[in-house]
Amino acid sequence: MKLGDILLIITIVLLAVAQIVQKMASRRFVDAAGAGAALLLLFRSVEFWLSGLLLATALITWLCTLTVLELSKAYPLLSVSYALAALLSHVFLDEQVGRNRWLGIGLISAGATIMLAAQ
Amino acid sequence: MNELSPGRAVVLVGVSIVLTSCAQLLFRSVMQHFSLDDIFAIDGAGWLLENAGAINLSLLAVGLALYTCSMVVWIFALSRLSISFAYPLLSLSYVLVYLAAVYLPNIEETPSLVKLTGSITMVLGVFVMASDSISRNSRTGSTDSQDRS
Repeated sequence: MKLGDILLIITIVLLAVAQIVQKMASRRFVDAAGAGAALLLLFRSVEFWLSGLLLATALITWLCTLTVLELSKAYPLLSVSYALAALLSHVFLDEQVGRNRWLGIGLISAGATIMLAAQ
Repeated sequence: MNELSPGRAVVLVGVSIVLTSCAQLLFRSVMQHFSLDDIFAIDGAGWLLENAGAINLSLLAVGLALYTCSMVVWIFALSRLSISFAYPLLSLSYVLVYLAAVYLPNIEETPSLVKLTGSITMVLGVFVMASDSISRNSRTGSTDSQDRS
């Protein structure tokens, strides 16, 4: 596996984990009274700043990825992060994954496999 | 925001797709001229000053600005659309980016039926994922519009 591939995988994982952490951040202000109170709770939460850090890191690893991999190949592969986020939300947040969601995860994985066969 | 019609909101989704695609194309058009060795050789401010011209930071900044604009337009569009309808539409940028990266002269990428097939399969996957009834009805679903607004 080449360095560009590893950077792309890191980017995909960072994007998916950032979504999970953002969801955890949003749970912080479920009971907040009003938008102001919710924002304050959000800015005080570790999850909010952690998700920002994850996304900023993902931007850097993504730009590094683009020095090596073709955009027409690497960009669609970012959709693997949707599938990964659904899997992670199922495992860590107890979210339900219905039939179509599994089917979509399968299709994205199939598309990713096809993509790996491209030059 | 109430005067925004759903039809216009869909147009805004289109604008957001075009903006985010342009941002990615700019990123690639700048980064394709670098090798990872260049990046890992960065030794702080001295290197940055020396190579600022070569890296074309201004184009990267334009890309970031377009990306930010696309997010703002996106959030405006979401004010009138459900996320389960709008989110999969974003994946259409994969096909747009493929066509532009292959056919625009500034980006030297080769057309390939395999890449196009892979892209379209993944776009289908995103649409099928979003069509799940759970994502629309469950209050805890990760694509619930409450999470992103």
